[in-house]
Amino acid sequence: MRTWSRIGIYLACALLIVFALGVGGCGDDGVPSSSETTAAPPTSATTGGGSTDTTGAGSTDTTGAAGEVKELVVGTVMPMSGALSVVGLSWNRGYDLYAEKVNEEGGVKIGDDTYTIKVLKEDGKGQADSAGAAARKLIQDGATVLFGEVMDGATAAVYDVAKQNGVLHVIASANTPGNPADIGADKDLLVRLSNSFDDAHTADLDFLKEKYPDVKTIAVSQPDVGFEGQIEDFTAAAKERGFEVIGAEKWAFGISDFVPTYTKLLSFQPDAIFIMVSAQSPYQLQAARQLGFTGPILANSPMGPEVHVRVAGPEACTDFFCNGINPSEPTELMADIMQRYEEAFKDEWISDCLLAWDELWILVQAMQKAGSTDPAAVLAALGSMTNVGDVKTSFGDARMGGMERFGVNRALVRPVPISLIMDGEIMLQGYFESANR
Amino acid sequence: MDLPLQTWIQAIINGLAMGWLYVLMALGLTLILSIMGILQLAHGEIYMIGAYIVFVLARQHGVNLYAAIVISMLVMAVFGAVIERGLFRPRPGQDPVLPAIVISTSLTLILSSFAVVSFGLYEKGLPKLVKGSFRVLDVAIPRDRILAVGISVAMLLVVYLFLKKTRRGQAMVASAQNREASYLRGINPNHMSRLAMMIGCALAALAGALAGSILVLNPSMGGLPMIKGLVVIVLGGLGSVPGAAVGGMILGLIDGVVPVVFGATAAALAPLILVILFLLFRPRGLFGHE
Repeated sequence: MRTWSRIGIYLACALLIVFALGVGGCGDDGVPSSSETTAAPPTSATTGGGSTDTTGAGSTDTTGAAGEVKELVVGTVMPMSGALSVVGLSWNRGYDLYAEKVNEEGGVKIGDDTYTIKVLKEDGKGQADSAGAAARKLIQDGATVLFGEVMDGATAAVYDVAKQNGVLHVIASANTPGNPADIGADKDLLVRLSNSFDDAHTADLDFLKEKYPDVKTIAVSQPDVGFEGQIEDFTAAAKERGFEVIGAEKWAFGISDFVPTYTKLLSFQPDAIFIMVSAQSPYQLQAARQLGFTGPILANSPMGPEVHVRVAGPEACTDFFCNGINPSEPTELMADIMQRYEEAFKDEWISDCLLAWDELWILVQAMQKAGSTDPAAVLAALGSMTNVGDVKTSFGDARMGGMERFGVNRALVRPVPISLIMDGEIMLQGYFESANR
Repeated sequence: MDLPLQTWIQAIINGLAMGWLYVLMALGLTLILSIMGILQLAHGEIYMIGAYIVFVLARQHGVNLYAAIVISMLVMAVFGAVIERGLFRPRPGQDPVLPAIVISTSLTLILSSFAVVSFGLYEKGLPKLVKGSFRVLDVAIPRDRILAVGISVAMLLVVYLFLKKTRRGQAMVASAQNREASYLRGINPNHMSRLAMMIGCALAALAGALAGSILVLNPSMGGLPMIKGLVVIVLGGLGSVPGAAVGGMILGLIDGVVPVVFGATAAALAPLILVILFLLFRPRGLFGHE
């Protein structure tokens, strides 16, 4: 009996260790958790005149002598370990690629000065405490703009730090407009330079109605970490178009076997399924098809359709559409970014990278318009860029909006792609109007 | 619970199918634990690497999926022999427990990092064992899960017969029951340890390949099955093949039915609560012995 007690205690200890490793993602994703930088090239070769600022990070002083070469230091707080590390990795790659492009060209002109870009990275782990600590470290290291995180609680923690330090905060991905992590009139230093997932609701539902006129009922699959606001938004938009949302099923964040979830979801007997904000939509697609569901499935994840085909398999990928781009039909700029990605990382393409590229690019556009890197001036400039074409993105002409929903024009409004997959073949259906207002 | 009968049946079938994968994991773990007296914390990573070997062979080199699975099992069996000899074999007079925890934790990190560097962070898919599903009582049953069950059951029987009917298997059981006494009877415990590690790693590779074909591959895929395997051992009892089978079924049913009936949070908690109860009131599990 003594031996068994020992083994029991031993197993309990081991379980705790394994559980801790599992929850913590083991820090094993091969992505350094310490600050990592995208080095700017020597600035002496980039501009003709002016002195080079060698003081390193954080040189956002715009009061200096005209024609100086400076460094814009941005900090990214992204999940670089754990279940969301894939997302963090692809976003960081996008920031890196844009910074490298700017630096290759000798920097960007902002006001009288030329700025190269330096990207510092810290691991937010998708958790509030880690993200807050990461944000503080980045500011200590000289970051004057913060990007991230992708989880609501972590994003709110980053904003708290940004606000305390008077630093501009760019939301990497807003999951639930109206929640504490999203923009609002009371958040002086917060801006969202990417679409919210629910911006695609109306475009997706219109496409569903047009393409599948027999669909009357929809069931929703959602993560168990919030998103009630989006459910309400989607339900209302669906009702306006004559659909009925007959049920929603939550799943635990990080799972990969969705068969139990879809067993329950399919008991609602929907005509169509809506996969909400999920990087795991390929698993879900696979589960739904395995359980014999043959109706249309839509996902508002920006994840590329090619990832769905690669992971779920071509046999599962039919009557499925999502808001990722078709990499075989990119815009000219997307093609350039994809080529840079291939050369830099020699890894499979993932389109989240475009969103990060656009964020940093739009920030630079606003700084150029403001002629300054001062947060208040940049936000004022962004708030005035409300006509289509005022903002350029890799998805096409865009603008800033959000006044109706948030009371401030600090949300990006850009075209929403819809890609349809039939029998494993991806077909870009076009770029549609965002629902952001 | 206002669920249709078909949903209940579907949930039970799903759970039992996944339960058999847990059985394979638990079987390897329990052999290693009972014979070597150590917990191989990197067993989940063996499972993951086994799946990636199948991916490389089947997806990148066009090897038949089933042949790739067999090759992966053989490769991981050899790997098991290497790590048993090189990492886990205790020196005379040395307590094997603490070094094994440190070494296997390190091995976990090394293998995970190796997978990230070699295969990237993004998910991969294996070819399906068999495509499509069939319907029984208006319930869709994925064919690949049923085939995975068949393979797992066959493998369980092979291991059971090996342990019960062969001299080497009986020697392993003897070594597990009393290492010193079996040594006096001419059974080399190091050989038994090596064999246990080889079988354990091969079973983990098989489980990884089957799971990779049913679900997806990623470098962190081994963590959860490792925990499931440990839970199965606690439920079924250390060193018991029938215990592993029954424990796997119980856990599979929990995983299949609880999320459908009570939701995701309850499903995550239920196995852990069960483990605590077993450790408190029946630490030897259902089929373990004193």
